[in-house]
Amino acid sequence: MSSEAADLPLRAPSKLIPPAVLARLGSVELVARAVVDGVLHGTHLTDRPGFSQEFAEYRDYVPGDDLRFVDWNAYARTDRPFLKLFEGETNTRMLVLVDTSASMGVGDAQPTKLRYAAWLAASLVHLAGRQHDAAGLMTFADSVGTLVPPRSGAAARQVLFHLLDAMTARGGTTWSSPFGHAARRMTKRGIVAAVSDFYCSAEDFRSGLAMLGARGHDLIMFHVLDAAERRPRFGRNVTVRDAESGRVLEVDASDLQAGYSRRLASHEDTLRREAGRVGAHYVRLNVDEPLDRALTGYLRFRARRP
Amino acid sequence: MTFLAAAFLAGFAVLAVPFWLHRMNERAPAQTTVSSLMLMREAEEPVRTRRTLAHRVLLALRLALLTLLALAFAKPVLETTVDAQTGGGVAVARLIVLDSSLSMRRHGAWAEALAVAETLRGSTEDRIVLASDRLTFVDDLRSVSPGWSRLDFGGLPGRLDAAIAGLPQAPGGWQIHLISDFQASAAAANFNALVAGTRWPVQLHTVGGAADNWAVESVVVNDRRLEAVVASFAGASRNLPVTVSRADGDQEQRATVQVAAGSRSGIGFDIAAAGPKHEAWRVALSTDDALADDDVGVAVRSAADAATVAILAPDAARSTLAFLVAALDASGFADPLVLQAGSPWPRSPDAVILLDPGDLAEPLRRRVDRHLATGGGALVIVGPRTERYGALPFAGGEGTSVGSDARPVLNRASAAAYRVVAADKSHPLAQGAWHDVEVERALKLAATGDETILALAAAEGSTSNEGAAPPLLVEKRFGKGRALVLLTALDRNWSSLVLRPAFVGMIGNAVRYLGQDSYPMAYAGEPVHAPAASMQIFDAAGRRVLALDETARQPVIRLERPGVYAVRTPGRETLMAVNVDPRESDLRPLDADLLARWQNAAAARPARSPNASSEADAEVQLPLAPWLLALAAALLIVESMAANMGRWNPSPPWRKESTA
Repeated sequence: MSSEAADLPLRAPSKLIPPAVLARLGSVELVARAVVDGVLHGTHLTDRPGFSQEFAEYRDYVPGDDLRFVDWNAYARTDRPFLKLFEGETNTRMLVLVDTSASMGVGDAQPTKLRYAAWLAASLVHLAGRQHDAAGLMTFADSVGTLVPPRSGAAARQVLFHLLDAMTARGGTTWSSPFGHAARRMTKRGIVAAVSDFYCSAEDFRSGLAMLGARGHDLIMFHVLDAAERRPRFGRNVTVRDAESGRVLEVDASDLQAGYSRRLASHEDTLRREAGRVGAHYVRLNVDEPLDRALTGYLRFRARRP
Repeated sequence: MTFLAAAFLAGFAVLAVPFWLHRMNERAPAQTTVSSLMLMREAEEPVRTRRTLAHRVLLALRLALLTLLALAFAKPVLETTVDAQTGGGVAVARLIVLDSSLSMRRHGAWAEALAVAETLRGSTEDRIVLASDRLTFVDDLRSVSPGWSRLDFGGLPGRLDAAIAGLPQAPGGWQIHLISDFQASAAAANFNALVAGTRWPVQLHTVGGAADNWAVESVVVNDRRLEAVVASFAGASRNLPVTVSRADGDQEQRATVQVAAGSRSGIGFDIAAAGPKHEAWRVALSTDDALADDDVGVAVRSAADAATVAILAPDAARSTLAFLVAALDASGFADPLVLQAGSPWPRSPDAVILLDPGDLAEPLRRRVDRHLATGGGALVIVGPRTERYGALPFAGGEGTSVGSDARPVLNRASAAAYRVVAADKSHPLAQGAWHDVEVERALKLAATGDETILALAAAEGSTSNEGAAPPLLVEKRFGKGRALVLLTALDRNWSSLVLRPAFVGMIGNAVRYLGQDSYPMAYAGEPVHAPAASMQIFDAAGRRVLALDETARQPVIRLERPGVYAVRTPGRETLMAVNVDPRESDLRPLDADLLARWQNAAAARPARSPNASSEADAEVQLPLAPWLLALAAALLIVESMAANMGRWNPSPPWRKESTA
């Protein structure tokens, strides 16, 4: 499944709010409400997609959709495949994994990756609430920080919002342990959304995904980067320090401009490829972009679940 | 190596500045925190190593630059010994000095000197200079010949050193070659004066040699008598025919004088009384000696009524008037006109003598003013009345008060004794035996150095605390005229002047000088004080040798050739006799031992390798400052390039990549 925005049936997101404006809002809950409302209004996507007996609307068929829900009558009349969408009660469980390692708090950009991840997680939680899904949260760094199992109800969501507001970037990153822990705690099938900068090896990433994928969860990986990471701008040779390990390295400025971009692109390809192997959805995000692409991606992803 | 300005080595202290600046810059470089080093690669060449290396290279360059500048300002010179002939790799220029005094006009001496000069002349750097009473650089030896003036070896090295200082710098330094007949009479009494004053080695080349010579040493013409002195510089006695005649050839007389070897003989001739015009007389020897130019002497006799002298003397000065009249009579100015109160002012007096004038009556004051304003001359001799009056008694004296600012000096006069020294030796009134004149009382008149002819100096044992020598005889200009002011009285209570021979000579010279009469005899090339503000001088053939503007520009004139000259001033023409310096007639050379000592000392000083031959080597000082400055400039360029090496690429690789 392609994860690029070009694949999504987006219209002009006239009311999308840029991150710089969202940063002025106080809590993640407000941000989540504003973002979700804007996305739903701008994209005309429903926040209640499901497959009950109550018809909701038609939409174009895209490869990968379940053929069982194609309206063959409409296809016969129009010669175009449409998918029938129904409104109805769902009880999908969603667990949001948020990386709170030190690397998520690095940089002068506003918002930081951690804050952007909090907004995204809050938006997902808020969206889940509108869909009557149970939502949970797990923060992790080099170990599991906070784990709130998926629950329904406004009170449960308020707890999650508070936790997201209080997140701080600290520590290193380990994937196998937190993902294994999440796999063990989330015994029923559901949706697992992970938000991270994914500075990990392909093996580590793969093993973590494999633990969750083996449980039959639907996985969506949000890869968050800021502008400085996408294109470091150093005019001369610099000494850099790893935010998590504290390791210091003297790097060549010319290498930062050329080799780094190449390696980053390769890393993203690796992540996308490994995610595809286990059927996970991979979305790359920039902190200076509105959250709509992430949410529409999620909604598209969510709509495919019964 | 020697530093001429070693104080600039203190500039090394500024080396601390780049040290400090580099230390500040060598702090640990700022670190940038990134999310992960996973995608970054360590630089192939460690940044810190490269930065440290660059810093050290820049530091070294900057330290070297400052060091070179400090060294350059300290003016280092490299003392090295070079071969005077081959230059030892460095060219040594020769200054060939040709003695062009009268003695070099002897038979064969000049041709010999030219031959030596031609053999010495090598590179284009070499220069030739003629040395007599002055130094003259010449390029072509064929067009020059010796003159009639005198060369004194005393102080010659210093004059040559000053001349070399005005020449372009020779990389290998200078070697002086002095070509001369080395007369004994030209040597300085002090041996050190022969060698001191130059830092360049001197090589002596002797030409000429001993030769018999006779000369007319002096000629004196009085009213009816001509006296001449014939000197012998030969090894044997000889009878010499002497011819005396007026310059126009009239009144010729002949006689023979016997001159013993190395001695002098006088010969006198009775001549006709002086006529109404100035006359030039000529005394000639008939010899076949080595030097012909000194066989003739000339003298000038003043006209019979050459000068009208008027004396203004108050009754109170009658006692000193007798001294003055006697001196005038002895000097050939008989029957001066002594002006009494109410006497008519003489018509165009040549000289006016104011004897202790004090405060003149108004009519007389106007007369004196008019006399000076029209170019006349006055001799003022002070006395008690002038001391009381405190100023010169004519209008021009306003502002140049006598005694008004010198009353402390009057007190000094009673407590100290002074002797007389010549402040301007070229002035005719400075001639004479002033050394035996004692002055105990004098007035003081403000005068510049140029105006002072005679000055006072503390006598031995005197307790005078006078700083600068106060003037005794001053010449001041008033309009077109001038006044000589004698600041002591003709009174034995004031000075011993009236008792000394110098007094008669001074009075006679003063009257001649003020009246622009005939001048004392001068020697060829000798500086002579010009008595008039401007004049023209013509030689015996009527050719003008000095124009009005030339004499107006300079108070001292020189006449190069012996003979009789006509001196024309406005409304007057007088004569001037110029003879050769008799010391040039003595052709006996320096003692061989003395010449050898001179050669050794001059060749060895100040820079000469002790082991090298005296002629071959010379020590020179090579200035290093230009080379150090050039090296500093090159280092400055290199430093600029090194400091900006990291900023040369205007388009970094990532920008190129994005453009592509």
